This record gives sequence, C-alpha cells and structure tokens, in this order.
Amino acid sequence: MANTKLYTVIYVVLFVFATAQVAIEGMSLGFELAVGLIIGLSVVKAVLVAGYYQHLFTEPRSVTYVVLSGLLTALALTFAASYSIT
Amino acid sequence: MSDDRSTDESAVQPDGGHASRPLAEPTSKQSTLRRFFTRDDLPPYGALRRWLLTTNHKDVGVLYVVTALLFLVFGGVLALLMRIELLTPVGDFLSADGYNQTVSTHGLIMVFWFLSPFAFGFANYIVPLQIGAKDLAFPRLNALSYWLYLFSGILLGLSFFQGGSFSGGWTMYAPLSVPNYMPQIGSTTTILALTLFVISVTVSSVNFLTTMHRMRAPGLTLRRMPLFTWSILLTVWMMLFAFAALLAALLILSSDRILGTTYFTAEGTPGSLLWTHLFWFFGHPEVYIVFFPALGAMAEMFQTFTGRRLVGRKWFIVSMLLVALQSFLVWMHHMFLTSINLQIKTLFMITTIGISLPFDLMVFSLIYTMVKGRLRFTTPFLFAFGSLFVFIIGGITGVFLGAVVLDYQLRGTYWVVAHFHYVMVSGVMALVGALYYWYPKLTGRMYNRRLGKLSFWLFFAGFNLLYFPMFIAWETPRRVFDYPAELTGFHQLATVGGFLLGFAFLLVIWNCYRSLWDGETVSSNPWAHATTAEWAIPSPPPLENFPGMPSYESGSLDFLDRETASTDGGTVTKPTPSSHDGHDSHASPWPLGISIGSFVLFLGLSGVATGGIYVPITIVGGGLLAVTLLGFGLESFSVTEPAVAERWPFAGIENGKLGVWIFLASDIVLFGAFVGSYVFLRAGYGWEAWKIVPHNPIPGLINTYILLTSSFCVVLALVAAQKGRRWGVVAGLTTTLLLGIAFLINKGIEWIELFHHNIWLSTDVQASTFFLTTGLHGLHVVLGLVIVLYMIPRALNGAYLDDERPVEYFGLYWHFVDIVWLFLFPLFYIL
Amino acid sequence: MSVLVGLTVQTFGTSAPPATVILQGQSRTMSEVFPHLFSIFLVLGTLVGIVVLSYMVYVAVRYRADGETDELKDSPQLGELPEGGGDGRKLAVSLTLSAIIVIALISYAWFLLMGVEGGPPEVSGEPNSDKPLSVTVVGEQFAWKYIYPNGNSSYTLRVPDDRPIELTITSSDVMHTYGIPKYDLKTDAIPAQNTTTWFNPDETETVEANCYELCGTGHSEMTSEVIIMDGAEFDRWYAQTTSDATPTPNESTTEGAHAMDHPQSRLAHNHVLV
Repeated sequence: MANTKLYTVIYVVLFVFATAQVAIEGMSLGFELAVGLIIGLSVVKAVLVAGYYQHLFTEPRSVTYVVLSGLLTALALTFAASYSIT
Repeated sequence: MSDDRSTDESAVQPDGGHASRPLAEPTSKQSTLRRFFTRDDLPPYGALRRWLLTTNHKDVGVLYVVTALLFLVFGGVLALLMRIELLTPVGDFLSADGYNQTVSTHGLIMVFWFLSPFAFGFANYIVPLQIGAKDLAFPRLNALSYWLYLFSGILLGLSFFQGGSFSGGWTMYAPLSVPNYMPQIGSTTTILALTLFVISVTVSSVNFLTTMHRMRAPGLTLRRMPLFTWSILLTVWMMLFAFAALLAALLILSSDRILGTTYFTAEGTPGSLLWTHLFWFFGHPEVYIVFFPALGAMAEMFQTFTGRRLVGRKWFIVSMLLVALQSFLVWMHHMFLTSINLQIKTLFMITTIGISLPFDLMVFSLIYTMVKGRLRFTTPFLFAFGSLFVFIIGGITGVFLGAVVLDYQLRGTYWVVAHFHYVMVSGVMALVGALYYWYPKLTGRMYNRRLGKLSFWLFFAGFNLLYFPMFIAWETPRRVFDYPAELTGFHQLATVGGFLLGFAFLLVIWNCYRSLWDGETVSSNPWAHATTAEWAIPSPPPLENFPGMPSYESGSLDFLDRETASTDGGTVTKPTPSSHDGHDSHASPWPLGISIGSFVLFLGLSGVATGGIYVPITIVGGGLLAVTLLGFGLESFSVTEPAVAERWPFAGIENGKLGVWIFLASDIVLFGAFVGSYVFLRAGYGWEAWKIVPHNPIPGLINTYILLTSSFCVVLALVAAQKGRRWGVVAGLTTTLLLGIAFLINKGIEWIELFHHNIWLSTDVQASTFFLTTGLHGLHVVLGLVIVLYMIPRALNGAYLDDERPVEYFGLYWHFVDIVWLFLFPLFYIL
Repeated sequence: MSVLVGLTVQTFGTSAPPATVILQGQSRTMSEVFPHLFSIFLVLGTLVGIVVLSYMVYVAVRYRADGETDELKDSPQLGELPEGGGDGRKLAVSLTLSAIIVIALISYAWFLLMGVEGGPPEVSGEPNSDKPLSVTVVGEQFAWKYIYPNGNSSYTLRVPDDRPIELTITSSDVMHTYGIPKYDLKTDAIPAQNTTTWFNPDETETVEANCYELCGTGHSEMTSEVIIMDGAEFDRWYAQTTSDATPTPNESTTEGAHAMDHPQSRLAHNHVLV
C-alpha cells in the first residue's frame, strides 16, 4: 500500500489535469465540447483520488458501492429536477 | 467522524495515544459539578447521573421512548387546539397566525420529534439484542444522537418565545419561509432546531449501519435477520441519504434567513420549486422512514401472536427493499400541480404506482399469516391488528392520489389530511403495540391487561372518529380554520374523536407508568411463540446483554462461552475507571456536553443577524462546543468489537473506517444537493445567460493546486506512519495544516476582492450560489484543519506510529474535501 | 364505508356525465373528468376495502385461540433462525389481482389526464364566441388578481358562459394554489413560474375560488368571487373596461356597480365568508 512513487505520479497527473481544465476554457472550443472535456477531466481526477489516495481500489468493493449509491442519489435529484423544468 | 477513534476496535486498539493523556481523575479540589460528571461505574437506574452519563444502548433506548412520548403530548395538545378551532366553521379560538403556528409545529413535532424517535427508541433497545451485539458500534455517538435530539426539541419549544414559531407548515414551502414574509426570529430557530435534529439523525444512521452490518452474531446472515431489524436496516439506509438532502435544504434556508442569500427569492429563477424538489426528495422517503419500523414491529407481533411464521417472508423483505430503493424516485408526485412538465408527471405517476404494489404484498402477507394460526388477542396484537386494518384504508385512499387527475383536485384538501393520518397514525398504532409488546422486556413487568385492552378500543374508536369524517368532508381546504358551513358536523365529530384519541394516549402512558410498580413481574419470555433473541435473556437484560457469545451457527440461538479473543488481541486496553469488568465503558459526560454546546450555539445563531444578546450567546455556545468536542476526543473510552461476527458485505474493513465511509456517503448527498440546486437554478435561469461570479479562474486554480498538494501530504503522512517515521507524520500533517490555511487565505482574498466590487452573498442568485456552495466547502476545510490541529501534537508524541488508522481516517475525509473541490472549481470558475 | 358510497351516488352519481361521453373527443375539462373518475375510484376502492377488511376480520374470528392449550404443530420456537411460512402462491395471486386493479385504474386515469392537459378544444370556424378567453391569475398575499387580455385587472373574475376559459396562474409573492371547487379546477401559483388550466362555464352563477396552499396569515380567507355571466352581457361589460384602471388593494375595482373590496380588507370585519 505504501507506494510513494505511485502516489507521486498521481499527484503530478492531477496537477497537469487541473491546469489543462483552465487551458481548455481558454482555447475557445465549442461550448459543449469544452464542458464535456472539463467535466470529464474532473471525473478522472476524482477517480484517481478516490481510487488511490482513498484506497478504494484495494478496499472491499462494497465500500465503493456505498459511495456510488450516494453519488447516484445526488445525480437522480440533480437530473430529474433539472429535467422537470418546463 | 474522524475524531471518533476511541470507540472502534478497541479490542485490538493500542489506544492511539489516548493512554498518554488520561482523563484527569477528580480530586477533592475539583467542584461537585465536575465530580458529578466524571465517569465512574455506571450508577444504578434510580440515579439521575446514570441517565445523564449512560451510553448503553438499552438506557438510550428508554430515554428515546420516554422523550418521544413527551413530544407526543406536546404535539397532541397542539392538535387538540386545532380541533377546538375547527368546531365552528369560522375563526374564533386561535388567531390566524396562531393557527398557522399550531398547524406547522404540530406537523413538525409529530413527524420529526415523535414518530421516528419513538421507533428508534425500540430500535436502540431491541436491534442490538436481536442481532446479538453487546451495544452499538459507537456507544458515545449513540448517546450524542439522543442528547442532540432532546436539545433540538427544546430549541423548537423555545422558538415560541422569540416572537412566534414557524408558521409555514411542516413542508416549509419557500419563499413564505424567508424573512420577507416570516420575519420572526422564532422561525429561524425552528429551522435551526430541525437542522440540529438532522445532525442527530445522521450520527445515528452512521452508527446503526455500522452496527448492523458488522456486529451480527455468527450465523445471523442478513437474510436471517428478524423482520424488525430488517425494517430498521432499510429505514436507516433511507435516512442516511434522505436526511442529507433535507440538511442541504435547511442549510440553504438558514443561509437565506441569516446570511441573506437569495436562493428562494431570486428573480427569474424557480427558487420556490427548488425548495419543493429538495424537500420532497427528502419528504417521500421520510414517509417510509417513519412507517417501516412500525411495519417491522407489526410483522414481529403477527408472528408471535398468531403462532405462525410470516407467510412469504422472503418476499416481504424483497418488497421492503424495493420500496426503500424506489422511495427516492417518486418525490415529484407531491408536485403534480406545479409547473413540472407532463413527461415527468407521467414518469412519476408510474413510479408511484410501482411503489404501491410491494405494500399490497406485505399486507396480504400479514393477513395470510393469520390463516390457520392460533390468534391470541393480547393488547399488542390488538394494536397490530388495528394498525393493519386502518393502514389498508390509508393505502386505498392513497391510490386515489397517485392518479394525477384525481390528485389535481384532491391536493390541498382534507382528503390528503385524512389519507396521511390514516397511514402515519396507523404506524403510531403499531408502535403503541410495540410499546406493549416490549414493555415486559424493558421493565421486567407486565402492563395492566384490562387497561391495555380498554386503551386499544378507545384508541381505535377515537382514531376512526377523528380521521374518517375528514374523508367525507374532504372538500375542506387544508390548513384553514374557515371552512364551508355545511361540513361543520363532520368536523365536530372529528374533534370529539380527537379528544377520545388523546385520552387513549394518556391511558397508554398511564398504564406504562403505573405498571412500573404494580405490574406483575415476568419471565424472560412472557409471550409463547416469540422467537427473537431478546426473549432468550432476562427481563430487563443485564448491562452486557448476553450470558455468553450469541451464535446461530448451529441453526438456532446458543450462548457460547464468553469470547476471549476480543479482550486481548495482543495489546490490552488501558483499564479505565469506568470499565465494567475491565472491558467496556458505558458512561461519558461528553455527549451531553456537546449537545448543550450545540444548543447554545444554535440558539445564538437564530438571532445573530439582529445582534444584541445573540452575539455573546453564539460565542459562548461555540466555545462550549469546542471544549466539549475536545473532551470527547481526549476521553479514553473502550469498546470491544466482537471477535467473530457476520459482517457481510463489509467484512474487509473495520468499524471505524466503515463509519467514516458511510458518513462520507451522506456528505456526498449533501454536496450533491448543493450542486444540484446550482444546476437546477442555472438551468431555470438559462445556462449560458448565467454569469460566472469570479472574475478570473486563476485564484481557483491556485486553490486547486493547494488542495491537491495537501492531499498528497496527507498521503505521505500516512506512508510515514506506516513506516513508523514520527517526523514524517508530523511534517506531513503540518504541511497540510499550512496548505489548508493558505487555501483559506487565498479564498479570503478572493472574497474580499468580490466584496470590493460590491458583489455580496445577497447581490443576486449567481453570487448566492457561488458564496454558499464554496463557503460550505470552506467550512469543511476549516473542520479538517481543526482535526489536523488536534492531531499534530499527538503525532509529536508518537501517537500514530503503532496505529496509523486515525491518519488514514482523516485522509479519507480530507481527500473527499479535495474531490468536492475538483468539481466545484470547474462548475463555479470555468463553465 | 357505505356512507361513502351513498355520498358518491348522491354527490356525483347524477351530475357525472356517462362514460360514453367521457370517452369521446380529446379535450375534457376537469369538471367532466374528476367526478366521473372519482366515483369509479370510490366505488372500486370501497369494494376492495370491504372485501379485504371483511376477510381480515373473518380470519381473525375464525382462527382466534379459544383458550384451550392446543398447540399448533410446528409452531415457531424461541431462538430459531427466522424462516417464512408457506403459502407463497396465494400471495402471488393476491398481488397479481391487486396489481391488475391498480394498474388498470391508473392507466385509465392517465388516459383522461391527456384530455385535460390538451387544453381547450380547437376553435372550429366561428370567430368570436368559441374562442377561449385567456385570463392571467396572480396570487398575492391574500387575494387573487385577474388580468384580462386588454390589460384590465380586477379582484373578481368575470367570465362568459359560452366559451372555454383559459387561466394562466402565477404569484407575485409566495406560493399559493388556485382552485375553483365548483369546476374541480386547481393549480399552483408559483412565483416566477406560470401554470395553466382551463374550464368550460355552463351556467350563469357566482362561485368561489380558494387558496389551497398555506401562504401566510390570511390563507384561510384568501378567496375570491368568480362571476359567470351571460355571453352577450359579458361582451358588453368587457368592451367598456380599459387597461389603465388598475385597482389597488384598498380601492374598489374598475367594475363600478359590481365592485368588490380587496379581500384583505375583509379580514378586518370578522369572518363573513359563510
């Protein structure tokens, strides 16, 4: 578990991705493409942090399901509510 | 959560440094007060100190039941005030505002402060017994839940003395709930009281989930759990997520009231719809949260008093599971009359029908269990039977409301009032049955049987006389005191029924009170055919519940010799003065202290915007809370975790870590609801027309770098702890602290800059969402820093070298805060 | 229960249009749909309720313990692992039956909903009299303000009896719910949102509109008059209204003789409503 090198590589990747997100905004891509890319990068970063820094990849899978069910609950609220707007 | 290290795994716990800072023993110089609250052996039942200090699940269960009954009387008196007002079709008894306050507080008390806590009194007492645990996983947190609950209720009561309590109904629809329309400080107090209650519920949910998933007797797989325990398990899972959404709603509302944000009043956004979404997203699961424990208790009583096993037990459980999942997908059926679109109405109509069918199955299952049985109509069974009877009527009338067209017309009328009282008070009826059912177990004495039966018939008659006329007079609009004169007769009948029902409740309470002395003493199992483990031990059970380690591995309950593996897994816990026989602690003064601190703080916050006396109250409350939290953290409190237990599906991680993860899951919903609110408001406003508040993303980017680096430092600290490097741990934590402070300073500069440009929390909805969402995140950062500040000196003493779990738990929290920022940054700074 | 059935027949049995009428045509008002559907639900619900509850009571009486100590064979024992009893098939049959009833009812209700949601029928040729009249309803603490297409506004709703009325409902302050019980019509009044509903007045009369969502101190008394006039009379009245005469809550409206105080002022004179 104590794999300092791996942790460092992940740290560098996170750093680069964060910078990339701001860069993408400056590149004047299409709005939807930019949104997709930026959110996509955030998701990747979150998975890296949760998977390695919080050890979800090595914990029992059931813990991941607990986290995902919370996430799913929040997403259900967000999307259904926003979709309901006339 | 992460500072609650002392309560987990102490079987093998080297005490994480606690031993180095033992709690000071009282000396003769210390005040009487200090001595009063210092832990000792748990005092006997008769002593007040016992009830103030206890952390034992059975004591806490009794406290819950008794307190809930007090709130029942409070809410019941309010209900009777309403019924008196409704004797005549004009307003002539209460003032208009008084009536609204009565309606609102009645609803809030009954739903929040009576029903769930009443059920959780039994859950506290019975669930550990049924699963074969000596206590809950975190006994001090359990006591904390109780005291927070009690003080939140006291805070609610105080609101009446602050210019009037909340008067916008228990649904608290916005924007009526904002100060423009409801300026009284008491309304803010009500919302804060509910917030405190939600905190209590969240703590309790984490505790129950950890306990029920990790501390079941060997052989007691999830499938084999008794139905009451099953119902509580599902209830608690629903609570964990549903109450997080309510917490978000309440925090936003408090902010609108105290800080002046404009979520619910903003021009051009559907702010009031936002409230209905957040509230009902919580509110519908809440219906089942309130009803499930009653259902579980009903199932237990049906089995015991029919002498038959439940028909279709497996399907009964599957039904409950389906309902629990689907309860999060039906909330918009409370919003059919709002401006939501037709597609979503159709969708939610379908999910609503879907959720009614499992209940059909459960009802039939209970009825068929009676067939070919030997029905003994004891008082508990009468109540359970009566409860099923009225629940069927409540269910049928609910189908009416599922049909959108009928809902269009029935909404906002007494049809709804009658329907949900038939359902909710049916739950109450079952729980009163549960009170009679478990009364001999709790007290060791039998209630008065004749009085018990009398109380049932009065209850049943009063109930139907109260609520059935409401169906006939359904055209009365809800929450009015001024109704069509031709309906007067029905309302007068209902009032008579109301008083009858109130009298029946008093009779129940009187019976329970008198029988404490008069009741005949009972054996361990006064009911033939009861099967669950609580009936296999004395009434009332001894402090540590079982004569040996409960086990079902042989196919039925056995008590094996007391487990020895758990007490000395290599390291022995420092014996504390409170240790019963060298093992477990059962008393702590800090849960009470923390609750008093929170109470004072919240009382201060209610009026802090008006200044005056409230400012010092807030400061005192904050100080008190800090001191008591520190005391809680430093206290040496040992709990043994069973050496062997059924732990599916969480066998691979220990109690403490599971607790942290469960808490984080609810925090995900909290932040999710904040982000969801932002997305909803922005979508309603026009996604691209919405202007981003920060002038440029660079400060946000810098803060992203800072947080990422701090997360990395926490990881390094954990690695250092694992490798036994004291200075590595200290360096990692200290850097984290400094980076956290840098994050806050950077944010502060950014905010001051915005204030300088005259952009405040109240400027517009864009600014409100920006400041409040990132502010909530900032608050999480502050909380994390407080924990780090507590950990650094301990790390200096080498606390985490032989047990790095506290560092790991803190890391889980801190990385979570980091992840949240990874989404807030693009959402609020870039897109 | 039989009280309820009696009530249905008495209240709705006569006034509800027969099913064949309901099933023809696309567009239906709530006052056509609601009584019809409500009575179906009520009759079926009462029947199901009586059957289930009677069965329950019958079973309770039939299988009650008679005081003898005759033990059941295979009765549950203390400490056993929970198991289910048999009879799964009976359970499945009951569930299927109830599912069929519920799903059939709700599907039918959904079909009717489409008619209500469709809005007033399309105008068929005749220019004037069948064209729906559109009125905006604004909820404000504690009164209903009606704004007509020509800009005239009033605290009393006047509508003709010869054409459909389309209402667009909103609020200027908190959430309210607008409802005219006589026409089984109800919808939320939400700040910054519009909702719509419609109805077909059929006789000249004066009915009442209520508020159905707790909206503050005056909620109980937030009512207004809805006056349904002869079509020609309405046209004459409407022609002489103008936009500039907007009432303020304490003045009378532009209607001259038919003036009605802002309901808030009625709060002062006790409860004269009924």
